[in-house]
Amino acid sequence: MIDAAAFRRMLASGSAWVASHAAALDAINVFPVPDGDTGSNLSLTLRAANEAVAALDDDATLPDIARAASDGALLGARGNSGVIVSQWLRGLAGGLAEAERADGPALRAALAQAAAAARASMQEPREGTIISVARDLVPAEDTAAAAALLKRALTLADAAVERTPEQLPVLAAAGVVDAGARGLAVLLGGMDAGLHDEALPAVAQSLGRIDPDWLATAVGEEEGVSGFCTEFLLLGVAAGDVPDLRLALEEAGESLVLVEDRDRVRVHIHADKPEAVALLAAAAGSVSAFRAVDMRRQADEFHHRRDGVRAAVVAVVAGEGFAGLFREYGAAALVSGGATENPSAGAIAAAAESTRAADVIVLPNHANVIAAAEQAAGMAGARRLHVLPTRTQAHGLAALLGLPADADADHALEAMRQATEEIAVGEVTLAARETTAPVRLRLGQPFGLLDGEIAVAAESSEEAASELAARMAAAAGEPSLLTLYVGRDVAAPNAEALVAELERALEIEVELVIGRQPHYPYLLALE
Amino acid sequence: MPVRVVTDSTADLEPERVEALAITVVPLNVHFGQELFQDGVTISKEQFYERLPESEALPHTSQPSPAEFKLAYEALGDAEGIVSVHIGGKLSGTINAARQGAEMLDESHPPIAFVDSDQASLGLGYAVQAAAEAARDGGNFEQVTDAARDAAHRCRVVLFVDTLEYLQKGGRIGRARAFLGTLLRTKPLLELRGGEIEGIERPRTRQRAIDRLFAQVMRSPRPEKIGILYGSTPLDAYQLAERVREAEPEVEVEVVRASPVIGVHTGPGALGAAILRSR
Repeated sequence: MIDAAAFRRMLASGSAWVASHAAALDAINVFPVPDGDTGSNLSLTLRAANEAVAALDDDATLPDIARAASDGALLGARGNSGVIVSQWLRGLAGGLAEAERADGPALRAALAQAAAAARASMQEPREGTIISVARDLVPAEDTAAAAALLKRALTLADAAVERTPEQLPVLAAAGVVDAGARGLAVLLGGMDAGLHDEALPAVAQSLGRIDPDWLATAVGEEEGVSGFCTEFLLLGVAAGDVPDLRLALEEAGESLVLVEDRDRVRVHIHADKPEAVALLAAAAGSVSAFRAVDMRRQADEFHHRRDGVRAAVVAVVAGEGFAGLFREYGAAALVSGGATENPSAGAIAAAAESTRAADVIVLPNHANVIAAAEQAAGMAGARRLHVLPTRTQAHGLAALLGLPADADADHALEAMRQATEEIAVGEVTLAARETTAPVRLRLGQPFGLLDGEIAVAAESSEEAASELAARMAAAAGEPSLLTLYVGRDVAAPNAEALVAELERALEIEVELVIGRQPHYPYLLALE
Repeated sequence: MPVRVVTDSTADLEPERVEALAITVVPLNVHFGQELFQDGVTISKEQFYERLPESEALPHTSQPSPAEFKLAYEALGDAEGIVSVHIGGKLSGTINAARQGAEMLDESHPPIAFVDSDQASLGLGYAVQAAAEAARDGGNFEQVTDAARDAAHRCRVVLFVDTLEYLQKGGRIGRARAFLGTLLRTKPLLELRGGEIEGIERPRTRQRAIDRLFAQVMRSPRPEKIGILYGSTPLDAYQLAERVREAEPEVEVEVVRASPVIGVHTGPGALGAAILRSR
């Protein structure tokens, strides 16, 4: 029988066993993209599941625990395999929802439900992956005891993993089994040990490695991997909108995994323009915990095809326009965050980790995020994290543009810091509360910030921007370019009229750029 | 007759130098719509840069025909050898036309060596000049060829453009595109590396671009000769040259207007530098 305590042990042990195989699983990651992150993603997803379970009271029931694990995995899911395993756990939770204890038949039914849920999350389920192993590990016949059934499932899972190279030819060519499939078998193995309360071996199994010749030819520099692995959570989604969302996203990228859970939808997709995907999804709900990682770069770093000199940049972004700008100018990973949505140190550290670069430069891009970025630097595993404390996205973008093509990390950081010092930045935002000092502001009144200090109050955002620009120009030497980043809630004609006015008043070139940033109708950068 | 050096009009060598060193220059072509000009022969630099901003459709360029090279080589029939040094083959098909021209020659002709400089403009010019000086000093066929190759390797060409439009239209942007991006206006700094254009920095204003170009010139080790290249902005070029002279008083610094063929691809506002490193 599996009771609440046993299931807790199973999850903890399964998660720990996957964690100790993370690097080995990374090393055999071939399909769909050989970017070397399957093990890390599975491990992070299961860790999130366990953290959710750990937060429960001691008297939580088996259905409570299964549900918490499923919720935690959904929120923390990373990568294609992470999302699929989160669905597998959701199916398992559904199967365990009824009783305080599960015997053999109940476990078999839950495993079958888990397999079905995992399959349903995929647009095009492929044989030779987690999906087929999840199906094949379900024993054909009931066994009375849960423990015996789990043992049987484990044997079937291992056999199914060994079959994956026959089912998916790319695996045979690369000389490995499917990493996600093996990951699921490892999870099951850990769960089996947990059920019997056995200690896990100190040493992980060896899982082999990709044939270097295959890697050299099949994933040449010019082909194979491209685009950004893009993940986010969509909140407040109406159930009726999901089919249309799915259709729209299918057009926007590949390897789509879309998972519904009440009014939340977790999306994983490989896309060339992650910001366009976010914009598309924003029609159906509010985008949260957005993350995008440059897969080509990640794969190159993992397989040591890069010279390893150039540092990777992780940028914290708010607004699809800025996401596109940071991507265009070479950020290796994007994490959403800013004034109100502060990304956790863990989210920043995970993004840095996903770049696989030896040196990672983090651009927090908001005063509220700098502390989390610095905390992330302390958590970084194999990466050296450097935080350039950029206070606005305009500073961050200037820093990124200042990154020379071939500088090592130290020179890059210095060049980027210098670039942030060569611009003046003004911010227009709306008062979140009434104040009287240093200037009187009504709730919602537009005002301008210079160097983080309130500088002007105005009746409109445009008026605040004009006054800020005039002050900035007066303080600057001989500026020649003002970049106006336009926020999410600004009407286009207002922005265009402002550009014309600024060009006339300042007699310099004004470039209008769509930032779509929230909370700041305008950001101004003068150089 | 000693060894003779042949090049093409992208070498940006001043006419006096060409004459003094007896260099043969085969012109590329510049097309304004249906009108065809020979670079530096039927259109001068002054005429070209005056016309460039007025032209509705962007001009384009074409390599010389093999027959033009055949004629040039025939005129040097009594030379000890001919060293034909050209704009990098990854930027232009000129050196192929030169090879084809040589194949059209009669059987009795001097030996011809083809040197793909992997350079353009003064980067090529300095290689050609080194070869021609070696020939003037009595170098044999092999020595002159080596002089061209050696100087081509010691050259560095860095430039910035006002807009990527011209390089893009000419299809010469290649690998630089991903680094340089397109969403914001920039004055990108470019360098010829291995015969291809690569992006190296992304300043956003012209003044910053000039400062970064100056810094790049200063970063070049042991310069022997520095050429500042411009299209339509002589004032910027002479001011930059003055800055370089102040910083490197021992080094010969010259200012050269880029040839029309180069100007077609960089656009009028481009500013650059060719740096020849000492041996």
